[in-house]
Amino acid sequence: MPFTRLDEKHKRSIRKLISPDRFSDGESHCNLHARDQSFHPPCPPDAVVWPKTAEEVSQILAYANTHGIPIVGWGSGSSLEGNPIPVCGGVILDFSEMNQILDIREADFQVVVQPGLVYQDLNHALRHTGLFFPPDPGARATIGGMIANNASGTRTVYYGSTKDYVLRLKVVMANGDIVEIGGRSAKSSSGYNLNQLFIGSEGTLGIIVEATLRLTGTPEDFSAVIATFPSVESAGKAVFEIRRSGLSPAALELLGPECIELFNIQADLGLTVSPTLFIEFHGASKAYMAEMIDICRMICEENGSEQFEAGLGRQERDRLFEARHDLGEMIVRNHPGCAILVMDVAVPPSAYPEMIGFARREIAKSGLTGYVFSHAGDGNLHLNIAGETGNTDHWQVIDAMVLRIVNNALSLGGTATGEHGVGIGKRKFMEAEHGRSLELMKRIKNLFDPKGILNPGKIFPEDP
Amino acid sequence: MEIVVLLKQVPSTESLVEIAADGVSIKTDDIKWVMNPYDELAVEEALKIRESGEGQVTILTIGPEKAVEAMRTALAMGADKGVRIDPGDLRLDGLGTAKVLAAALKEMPYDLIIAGHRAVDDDNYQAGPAVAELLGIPNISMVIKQDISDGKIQCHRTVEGGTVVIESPLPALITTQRGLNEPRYASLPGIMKAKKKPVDVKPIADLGLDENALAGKTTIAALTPPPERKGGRVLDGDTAQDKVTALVNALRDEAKAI
Repeated sequence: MPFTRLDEKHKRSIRKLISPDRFSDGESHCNLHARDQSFHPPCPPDAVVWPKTAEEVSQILAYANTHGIPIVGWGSGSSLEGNPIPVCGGVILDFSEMNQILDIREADFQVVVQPGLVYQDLNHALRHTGLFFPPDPGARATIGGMIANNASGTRTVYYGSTKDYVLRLKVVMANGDIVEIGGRSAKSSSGYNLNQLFIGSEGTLGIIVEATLRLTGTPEDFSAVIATFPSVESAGKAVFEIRRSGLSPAALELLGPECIELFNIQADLGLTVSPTLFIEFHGASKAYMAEMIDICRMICEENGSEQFEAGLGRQERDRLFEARHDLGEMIVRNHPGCAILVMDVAVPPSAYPEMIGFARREIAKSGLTGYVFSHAGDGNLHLNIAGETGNTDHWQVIDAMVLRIVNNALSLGGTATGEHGVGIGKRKFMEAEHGRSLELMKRIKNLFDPKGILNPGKIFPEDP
Repeated sequence: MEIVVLLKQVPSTESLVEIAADGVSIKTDDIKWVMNPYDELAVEEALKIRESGEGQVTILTIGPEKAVEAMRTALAMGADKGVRIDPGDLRLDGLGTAKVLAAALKEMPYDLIIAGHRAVDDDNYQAGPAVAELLGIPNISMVIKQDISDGKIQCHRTVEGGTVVIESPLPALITTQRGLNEPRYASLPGIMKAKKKPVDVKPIADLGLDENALAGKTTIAALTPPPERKGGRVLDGDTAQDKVTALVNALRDEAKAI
């Protein structure tokens, strides 16, 4: 569908809908909204708008829908699959000025927030309430972006992902209608669960302008472990056994030796360079956690673990988590002149050791530098591969490898993307992953956004 | 190790601060009150020291009944008990506050006293060092790292362009600076337990101080809000050269910056 580029007339009209200091078509503002943290090429929008109210968003969408102007929501641009890159131009709605906590309902374990709120800032504001919002994708992701992407992180294995924490949404539809969906009760069997339709929709069905989130109690105590293994495969096997034994770790992260080396160089962590599991338990009593750690130690040792260091202090644990969250950036810094392709496959628990072995062999065959790290407890595997920018040989090898790895994940009953979303790069796997249900998705998209103005060029394999 | 944390309840920095009708105080009706952020660092550091050995953490505050909320937050983080000195109608300045705190501390056991280096409401930077002086113990300010061994405390503090390492025997008083630690979050069971933790309340009169000597040596004469920010100005000019010329002129003639 051809879209309308913003000419001077449209710019004047949109500027009138909000205060003029919250509209910009300046080159630097547009360039700041041209790329996310992925390797996908930048593409600037025609203009950027910073809305402050749902009504402003509504008016802009109504105008854009009438005139066929693409609209893309923007949180902090920390996504990893090109999800908010305005590939068809149009207007970016930057939610950094809609970042307020509207209501903290402590007794209900709920909070009402605006979409531009950064999740770390939410948790900081909640720090004395005994409550927190668990999904932790790292970077400084916003709640709106996290919902649109169904973000998850290191604690998802225990606490779940963003989808488990959304109770109610206020959404502006493509035509400007403001709709509230969901409710504030802990459970409901009433009708279709529209919340889940918007969660992970990457801004293609509507624009989220307010969310009521579920919170959970801050863990009273934690216990953290670092365990090293002779091979990534043996570490992967231990992960599977830990899950099968019924232990519920709050984090179960696997890091390839190449990642540990990077931690040591860039974060000065002084760890043993080996395939490593980082495991954390949350609980109310030391005795309970000591028991968990004992079982965990037994499983790790059975799978050949060489070092099993329990009882990490809080500072040490926090530094490790911080390094883990910075790993993507560390890899980028370690490869100047390269673009980093980020893979995000996820498979069922029993298939996890096989999947990680397959990925390792593929990297070895390619002759390129790859980093394996994983939210192992979720069967979610990250593979970051460095290819020289503009080196077509590299990228041919990478593209072919990605295809084989994703196909392998799908054949094991998995998905092309565990948490980064489809965005631009994973559209080509949609047909293989979803088969005929992709057609249903298209019909839903068409129902919500008949003119296709909401984040065009994402999720669906067709052009644009 | 007996550790005492000096704590103050202050208006949240996110609250809208407005000057009251008397011109020398602020309106407190709609203000959200929180623990002074630098005192959060002090609580966290005290808890860390206690966790690495034996002992207990006592929170000491001066304030009206609502000040107990900030103290309960510290108790929810893990402190053991609290002491609140009720100042009644007495208005204390920095030195008066220090005298009251010192008098209360003389009746308590302590090996280490930790305080925020300043309270974010009046920005006086006085209470910590003045308490140390009145108790006759060493004071190390703006600490970003500490280490205790053999009855001594070694502290790092930043100075312009570098770090100073200072050592002192205990008992001592240290004040906190950002970077010292990342304060922990309270847990729900922690909040529940905090409700049962002992908080002693003492009227100021019980400390045996001469109230006349406590009366402020300084008084607030007036409060004024910061000047409102003016909007920016776009300089005229068709070319970059014209605009730069206009900018240089504005910087020289109007702002007198160059």
